[in-house]
Amino acid sequence: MTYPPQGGQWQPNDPNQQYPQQPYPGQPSVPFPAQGQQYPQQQPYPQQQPYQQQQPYQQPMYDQYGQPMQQGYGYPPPPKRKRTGLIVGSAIAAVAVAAGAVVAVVALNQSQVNEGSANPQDAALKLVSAVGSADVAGVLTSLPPAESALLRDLNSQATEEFKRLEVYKKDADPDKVAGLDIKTSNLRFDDAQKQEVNDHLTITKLVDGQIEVNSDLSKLPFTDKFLDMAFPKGAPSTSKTQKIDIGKQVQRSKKPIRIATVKVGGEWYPSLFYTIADYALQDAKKPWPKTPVAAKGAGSPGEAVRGVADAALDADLERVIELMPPDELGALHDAGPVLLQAIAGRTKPTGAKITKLETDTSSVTGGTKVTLRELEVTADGETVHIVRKGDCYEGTADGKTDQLCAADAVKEFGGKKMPAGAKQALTHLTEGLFKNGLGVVTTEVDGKWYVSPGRSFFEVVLTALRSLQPSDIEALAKGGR
Amino acid sequence: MSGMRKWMGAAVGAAGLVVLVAGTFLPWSRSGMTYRDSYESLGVLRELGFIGNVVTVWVAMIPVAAVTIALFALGLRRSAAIVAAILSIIVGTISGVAAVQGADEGDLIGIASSGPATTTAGSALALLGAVIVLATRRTRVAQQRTAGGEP
Repeated sequence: MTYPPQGGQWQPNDPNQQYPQQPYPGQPSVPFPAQGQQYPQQQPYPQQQPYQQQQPYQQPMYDQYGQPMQQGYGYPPPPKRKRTGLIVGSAIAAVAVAAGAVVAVVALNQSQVNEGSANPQDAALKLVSAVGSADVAGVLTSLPPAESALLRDLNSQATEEFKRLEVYKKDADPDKVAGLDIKTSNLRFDDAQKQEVNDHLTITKLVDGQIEVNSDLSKLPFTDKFLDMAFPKGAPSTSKTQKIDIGKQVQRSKKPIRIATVKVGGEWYPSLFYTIADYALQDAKKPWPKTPVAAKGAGSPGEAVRGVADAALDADLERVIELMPPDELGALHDAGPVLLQAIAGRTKPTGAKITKLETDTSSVTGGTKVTLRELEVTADGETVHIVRKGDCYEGTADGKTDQLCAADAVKEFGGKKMPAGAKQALTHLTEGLFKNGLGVVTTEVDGKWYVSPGRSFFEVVLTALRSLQPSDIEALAKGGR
Repeated sequence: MSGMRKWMGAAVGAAGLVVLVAGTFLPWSRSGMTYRDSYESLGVLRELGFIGNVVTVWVAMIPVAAVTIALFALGLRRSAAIVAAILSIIVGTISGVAAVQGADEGDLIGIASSGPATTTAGSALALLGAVIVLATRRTRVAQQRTAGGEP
């Protein structure tokens, strides 16, 4: 037998391990004399005995001598610190931080007001519920984002102008529909009757329920001054309540109330414009077309306006629809083929061509306003050239040049019979329109530019309101009597 | 005695912060018959374009309150009291203004009173706790100086 002889492997780093890897001097290097015999070479190592008992060497030095020395020097044992408070405090702190994180996530989720719904019926119900609980904010946020933005922008800007003109009280809130209270109850949609037009448009059918509308003109946010002007004999204190039984109406007309819902960004919204378009198609007894007029925007605001102007002169309604914003007027794109079919053969190109169109752009709420700088149109061999010079427009036709300024336009109004105040109001209005320039508003959708008829119309109205002064409202009211 | 007061201040401050946060989940706005808490209300206002991303700052108040409570629990009462005081003054001012403006039942859209009132009460409580903690420490330091001991 060879080494190690004592059972177990030899550990080179074990200080307690007996040494003899190599034969000791004088010992034969051959195997041991007899198996099972005690190995005599271990005996000559008496130091091994205490070494074997030196387990405390593996412990820290002060521990080895610790107990007797400490007692000998008389040091008292260190006092044990109470850790209960620290543990409880740490536990409370951990719970507080964890709870804070959870609550913050809940709060953040609640602030994500995405009023889209998972299906068309829920979307329609959400709108009707918002109307039913007179939740104006809910109505505005339940509409498709583009429609909501359009109505919101118009409402807020018009309210500010009416406040400036002292028509509305200073504390009037754009979101408040004061004087109108609507309540609904027991509303029921017929899921079996819903009409799936395409993958993003579904018409839901409201078949039962009650609506109660309470209106009170005295709660409208008009100033006393305006009410005195508008109603010199006293404002009518009309508080009316109207109850509508939808079930009876549906039975009578045999037609449920249709609410169009659209899918935007994977969620369903009730759409005001689609609902209007749906009723228009119903009146015309036309179904929704299978394929829409695809949106094809322009590269810039100016190009979009030029495209619409060219298409209008060429009686190309399809191109006009293509240049309408697909988010705001998706209903027009979807119903477009019916319109094209309806006017087919009824319109002819004018023959006029725009040979030059230069525009200026300015940023307005929700889009970019494009105003005319220079225009040249050729028709029947004749050329008309219009250029804006300051607050005036200069027109040239047949070699003759005329200039039209705000002051010139005002002279045409009313004659001598018009009260001075009313004339002043019209002067302000005309000057404002000439100074700001009439234009169209374009919007950008997915990197392409489109002409927004709704925003363009509202911009004209707002430009007119911005041109007036508070005294003009009074003058116009008196002049109107 | 001062230790007791110190802990009482921390407890009052932490409780105030909990009430403050709880109040933000109660109704803050009313639109028709629909009530919304402060986060939903700010979300609607952001959706309608009236405000920017204020809601994120408002939500950040929750983790700040949580960390402040944790500091109270860990015994870092002075630091916690300072943060609690700042937080309660800011939030309390906002909720106080909202509470005063609210409760106009005549309007279709308005500010609800329960949320702002609760948050204001919570802010007051948190501020009280912070003041107790800060005042207690000052008293103790002053007493130690008077006695000649090290602060």
